Amino acid sequence: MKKTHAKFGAAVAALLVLSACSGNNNKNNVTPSPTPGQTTETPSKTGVTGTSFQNWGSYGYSLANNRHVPFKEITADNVKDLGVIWSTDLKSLDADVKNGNQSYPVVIDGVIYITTAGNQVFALDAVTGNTIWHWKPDAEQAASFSKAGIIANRGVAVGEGKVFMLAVDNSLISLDQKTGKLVKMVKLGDHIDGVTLENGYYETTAPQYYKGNVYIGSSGSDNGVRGFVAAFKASDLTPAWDSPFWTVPPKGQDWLANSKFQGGGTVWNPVAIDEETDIMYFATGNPAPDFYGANRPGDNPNTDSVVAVNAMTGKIVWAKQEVSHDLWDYDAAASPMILNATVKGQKKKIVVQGGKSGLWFAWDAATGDVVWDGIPFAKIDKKKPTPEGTVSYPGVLGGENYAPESYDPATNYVLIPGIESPTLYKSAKTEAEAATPDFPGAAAFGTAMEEVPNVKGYGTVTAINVDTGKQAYQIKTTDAQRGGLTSTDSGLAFFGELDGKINALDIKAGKVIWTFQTSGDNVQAAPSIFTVDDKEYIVFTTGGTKPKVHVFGLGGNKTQGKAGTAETGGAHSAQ
Amino acid sequence: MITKARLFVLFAAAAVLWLWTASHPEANAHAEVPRGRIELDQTSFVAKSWQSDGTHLTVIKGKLTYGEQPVANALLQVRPQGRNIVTREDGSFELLVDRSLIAYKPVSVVSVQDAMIAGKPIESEMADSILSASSMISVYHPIEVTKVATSETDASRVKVYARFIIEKNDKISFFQVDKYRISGKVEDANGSPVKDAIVWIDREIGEGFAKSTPTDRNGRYEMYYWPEEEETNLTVIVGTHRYTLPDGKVFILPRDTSVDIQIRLPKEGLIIDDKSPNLVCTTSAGAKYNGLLAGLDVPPGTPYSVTIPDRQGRFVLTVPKATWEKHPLFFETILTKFIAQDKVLRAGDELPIGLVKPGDQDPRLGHLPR
Repeated sequence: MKKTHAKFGAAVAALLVLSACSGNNNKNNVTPSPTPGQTTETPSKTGVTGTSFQNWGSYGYSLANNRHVPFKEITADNVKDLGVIWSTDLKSLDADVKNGNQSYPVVIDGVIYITTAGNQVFALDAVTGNTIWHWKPDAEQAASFSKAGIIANRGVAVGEGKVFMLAVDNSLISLDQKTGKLVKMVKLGDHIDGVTLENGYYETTAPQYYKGNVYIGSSGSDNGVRGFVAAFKASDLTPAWDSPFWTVPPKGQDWLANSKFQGGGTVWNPVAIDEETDIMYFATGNPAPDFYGANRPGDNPNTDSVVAVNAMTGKIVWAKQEVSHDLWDYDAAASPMILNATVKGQKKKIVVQGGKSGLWFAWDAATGDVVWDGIPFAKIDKKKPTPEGTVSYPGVLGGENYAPESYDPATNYVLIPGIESPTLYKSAKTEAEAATPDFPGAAAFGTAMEEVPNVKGYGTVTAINVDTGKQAYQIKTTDAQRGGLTSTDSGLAFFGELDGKINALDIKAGKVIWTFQTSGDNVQAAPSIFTVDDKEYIVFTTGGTKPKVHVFGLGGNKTQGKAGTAETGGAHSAQ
Repeated sequence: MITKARLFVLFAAAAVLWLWTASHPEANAHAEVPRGRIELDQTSFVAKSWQSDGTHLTVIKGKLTYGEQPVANALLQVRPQGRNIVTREDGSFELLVDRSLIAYKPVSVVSVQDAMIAGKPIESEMADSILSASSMISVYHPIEVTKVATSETDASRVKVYARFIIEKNDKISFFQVDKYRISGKVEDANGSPVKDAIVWIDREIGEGFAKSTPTDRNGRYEMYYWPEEEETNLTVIVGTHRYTLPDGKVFILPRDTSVDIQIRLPKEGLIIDDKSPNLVCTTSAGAKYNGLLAGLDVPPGTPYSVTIPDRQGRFVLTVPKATWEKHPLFFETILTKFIAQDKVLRAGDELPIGLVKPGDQDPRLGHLPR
């Protein structure tokens, strides 16, 4: 019984801590770097396969995070001919690679940049899989974060000839894009008060690069840390703003006056940036303690929210909350998307986000005015947690967890990766405990959650018509959707499953038309799609105990792997 | 309402003694020898509670000059670790001040390498003067002294009754228990201390964890945590070795107390034997406190005491009469401190003499006249 709980705890933890990749200013996705005017050595001189490239330049393809590529080579008709071009077992490349993998690949000029659990970085030839360079933290640093709650990492940002990564121990790292040599490493705590492992902060998210700055958030809401977004100069990793943008008050003020905690509201997935306005949009985590709200009165503003901030100055533009006074760990987790879409018959720029609450929102990008207000894509049945325990839908996993949505402009559909799984929420155990004037803790669950017996969770992919705000369809998947989706101009969306399968969805029809069992364990990140010499490739990472990278293309090897099982696998452990 | 608030701020600002500002060379602005100067349009700010709309953030303008001439393209920094600020053509720059936390932050010139005056690189004799230019930003809660009375027990001392003035809707956290301490010793199988070991505890369920300081040469470590009678894993990391409890075993931390955990590592393998004397846990005294306090900016060793403020911000100082008569400044600090007393300290309790000391980034201020 206890073991079940422990496993569950680890799985939850793994989910709670997703991180993100980098974002790039690739309007045409041919430029190797988001910095205009920057030149890079021609790839042929670097030994990289290929001479022309269409890149996946950042976490969400573009800084708008739409995860939609303009490629049409792979279609509903020929998707059956997709196969493995190459795949690599990351542990065979370096035995110190940790279990679990949630890395969203960035692909620039024929080079795939991926991170691993435990903060290694690989630059791999996108066509051959050959290692171009590899960076790993030294043993002492690696040991320091091997027990830091979660060691997953969601990828890099690339800009100005450098590759940026956040390490678990709250370090910001820049590497030379060509050689992988360390350029600089800074401790966030040297610039942002209190951002240390000891205080409950840790990093899993990918940074984003934009206009000379690297934008970061952090994890740790459930440990009661104070959420923030900060900007650092890409050139020397010094702060770019006078102050981080803190999402919640300092400890001891406002709604945290009675709380030992510093609030929560962490930004644990990458920001989206509107390059026309310099406004960035990010989603924020839950308030702490998670299930006990008596000492954090009111709405707990800016938690479970989408916040718009000027990326140049760090000043707030607007903030909209999805869940007021959250008692269920309903983060706004996944990165928002910025869409130019037809809404209610008119073209409009909007920001959309689906929460762990199982509700999907759209706001006017400039004003934050509500466009679609909490459209359900999961079963909604939430009850106030009691000491005896109450069952609520969604559970602590969501809804939509960190897995990002994609947007297909042809159908005007947003595709949401969902989880259908309830949680038994228990608040403070006794009256005496509930009456404790200051409910303290280094960890802030306050106090427990459990699996609901005899309920098997599953996953969903929901298509929402942005014009009407209505569900076009919802498909069920065997297991929770933990990776996210990526769509193409040929009307396909690719996504993986926890049993190591990957799928192609016909977006218009709402049908999965191709499934392939990879040789890897579970897929906990969405694929990136790119071209080399006009050939379209899809790169997935898989996790579990044998973290791998798989590149697919037409004409690849169609030999499938052994049927997998849905383990979320080990991102919490240090195996 | 607005008028009232404004009046309050004006009053407070006017009443505060700006010791450091007064001694600042700006007073000699018209000296004959040109020199570098940083002007800020405001340097003192009354602290204001954090607001979700960002109104606790104030933008101020500044200018870097040499004599009467603007210095362009110089690098400025708000110490200790702020961003690099580049001055514009007219020497101007802007800064965002976070008024939600007390602060004393110098603003200084960190580089003039690319700086220009009237379109020309600066000459080396100017550089030193410009590099020595500085200003400061101070964010504080006004303090009011409501009564001063001779101590009833010691006629050489006075009791000074003071209070933080907090805006009506602002909520401030004064010094109070924050966490408990987990400390102890790590030894090898022979009982010799192990240096540079790190002790981790993390919850069996959920994400809570704490990491100790590396053990010193006596094998001592410490960390701070708030246990909730919960099951935790205990891990000791020595280099790249991880020692853990036996499979299926968890550590149960008692509630509301500091503890001492003595750990003796196994001779072979990586499993810590969970029996005495290899693993011994005892409760210990003390707790870690955190929150806002005030003190007097007097020479170290001056024997005065201060109490923990109550919810209204009221506190009492007991000060040698001679010290008080010199009109010392107050300082404010957000103190985090472990205090090894059995009794939990609360509002009104007197803190040990010498406990409350100002840090480099703590604001100093005079008090409002009654």
